[in-house]
Amino acid sequence: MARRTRLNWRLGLIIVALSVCSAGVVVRLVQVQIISHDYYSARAAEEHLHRTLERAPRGAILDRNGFPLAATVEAYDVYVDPRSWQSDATAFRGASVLAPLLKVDAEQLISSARSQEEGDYLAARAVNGRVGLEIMEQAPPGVKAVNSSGRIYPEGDLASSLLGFLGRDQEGLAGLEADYDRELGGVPAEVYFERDGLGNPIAFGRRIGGDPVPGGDIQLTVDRYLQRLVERELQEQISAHGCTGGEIIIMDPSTGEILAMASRPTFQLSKLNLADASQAELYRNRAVTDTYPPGSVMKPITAAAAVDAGLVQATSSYFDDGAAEIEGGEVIRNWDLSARGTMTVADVLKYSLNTGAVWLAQTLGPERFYDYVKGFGFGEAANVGLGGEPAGIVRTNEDDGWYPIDLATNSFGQGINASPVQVITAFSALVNGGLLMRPYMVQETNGPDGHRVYEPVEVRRVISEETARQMVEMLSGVVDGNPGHLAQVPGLTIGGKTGTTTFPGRSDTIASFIGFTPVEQPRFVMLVKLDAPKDNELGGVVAAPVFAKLAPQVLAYLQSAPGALVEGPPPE
Amino acid sequence: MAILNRTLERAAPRIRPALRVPPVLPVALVIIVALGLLRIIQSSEATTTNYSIQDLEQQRLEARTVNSELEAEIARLSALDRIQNEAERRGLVPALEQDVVPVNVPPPALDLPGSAGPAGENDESASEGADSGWLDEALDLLPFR
Repeated sequence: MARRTRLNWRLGLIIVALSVCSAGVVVRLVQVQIISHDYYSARAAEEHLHRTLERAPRGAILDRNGFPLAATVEAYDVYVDPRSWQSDATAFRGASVLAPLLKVDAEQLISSARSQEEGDYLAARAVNGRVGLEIMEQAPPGVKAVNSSGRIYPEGDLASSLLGFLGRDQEGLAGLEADYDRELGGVPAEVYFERDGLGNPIAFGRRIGGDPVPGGDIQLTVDRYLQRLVERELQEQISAHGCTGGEIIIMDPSTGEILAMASRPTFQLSKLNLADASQAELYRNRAVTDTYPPGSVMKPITAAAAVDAGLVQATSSYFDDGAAEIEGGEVIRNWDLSARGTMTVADVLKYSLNTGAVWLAQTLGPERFYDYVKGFGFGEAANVGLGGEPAGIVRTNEDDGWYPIDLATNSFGQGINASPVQVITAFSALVNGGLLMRPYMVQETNGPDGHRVYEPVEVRRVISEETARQMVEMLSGVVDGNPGHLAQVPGLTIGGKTGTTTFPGRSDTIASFIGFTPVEQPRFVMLVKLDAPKDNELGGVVAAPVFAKLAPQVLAYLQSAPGALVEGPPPE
Repeated sequence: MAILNRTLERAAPRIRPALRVPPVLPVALVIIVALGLLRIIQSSEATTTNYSIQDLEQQRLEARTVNSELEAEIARLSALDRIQNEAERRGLVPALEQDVVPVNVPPPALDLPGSAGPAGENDESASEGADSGWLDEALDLLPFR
């Protein structure tokens, strides 16, 4: 009987203990599952679900023939876990494999990795695919290669200022990379997925978020061969004449397509250093962003306006006594201080007479003159599709601070500011039949918004076809009709106009030449602009020969019909 | 005796009926075991598939990397500088002179292959040519030609 009692006591104790434990478990479960449900649910999701930003592969920038100027390749960022490398044996084992692949010193690598206080040590950024795969295959301890991407430039530093560059987060910071970042970069995707203890995705586990939309390629109107040709020539001329910079642009006048655009000074993609603040000045594309007074290149615009208004013809004449008197007493003289007597409109362009340009502008009157100037696109952005485009400066008779002397100086391109792109666009309208075309350099994009094809856009008619025909004739007379003109090329018919921009109180000039060929059917217009040449300040001496040197090469490349070699109808 | 008999009856073990297991229990047990096995197999399959997927992902990454490397190689080989260097290595040089041939003049008189035709026709065309020769010379004397 006593034994039975003792057993019951023990049993009761166990039952009580188990009950207390069970009650504790139940209480804890109630606390975890019900009272603090949200907190623990969030903690669990945080532990199991991993958030990552999946970047979209970036598209390429292609030239007009489909050759890549900038492309994206698979690359790998290499990380070292410093905790794994606290052990000497592991660190040396890992470093002995990794260091030769990254071409760094093993001891330096260990030292750098160990000095990392938090997180993984980034041993190398964007190493090429072969090295990344090799690292993954050899799997050195404490090392992981994470898939990323790198930008390559197959043509080297070609068109640096045009292409621009990317930041470390693969977003465009300058040039086309920035202006077409959405098309090129695509749309990254924020993805949550369940992961196992090693951090790998669990098959059939939860996955929240879509797929990234890949970036598309953009195809330029720029031709890499022509771009290389003009960049080399520009660099050579800048060195030869001791210039501070310059631009060369080639445009198809009938469409507004920019075939080449070189600008100096600029940066080199191969030596890009974003940490160097002094390089920031080099990042902009000066052919688009900077303005300058076009100088005598403006005279054909003035002449075209006067002819188109029906006030003069190519043969209309005035008497050049070497000075044009302006209301208010100021006097404008010719650039060479000459007085040539009776001169025609064609002569005004041929001999680049300031007095003649003033005569034409005064004949037009300020209202009509500025209407034409604005019609040619001066004073408004050219809308070439690149960032940082200025409108330029055109002060008209309706603006405060305008004086009659402004009309006179504006007529030959002083006191008026325009970007090189604006100048070549306006000049193209003179030789393409009188249409102002919108300049463009991207002809096709394949972005997340779909496939877009950019076609020539006619902004407006600025002069009649007949006026344009007369202008082509007069501009041909400037070069081919002017014996000894340095823009002449044997076997080619060329038209164009020199420009020499002067600045008050400064000795430096901007020497420029804008020309086209063949005269019969202009295949391209080329603007050559050289800043502050040291040996000679005249556009006719410094810039015109550059055109003469490039024009035959450009024309040969474009496989233009050799109409320039044939005068009149071909023999039957 | 009656008491004895009663005692004996009481001492005799009472025969209990055999424990009857409901037939549903083994079936349930089998089902539970089967479900457990199924879960284990499923889990094992999922793990295997998971590794397979990771392996395929890795293969895809490698293939993508190799493809990307090949595309980059094509771009590098197509670069203008490389083509120029290769041309120079092969001894090619840029054209030094450019001749301009005027083509707006009448072509030189061609000596047509007379031997190709029958002899009679050749003689005829030759005589025509001779006739037109003096006529052309005479016409050349005219100022308006």
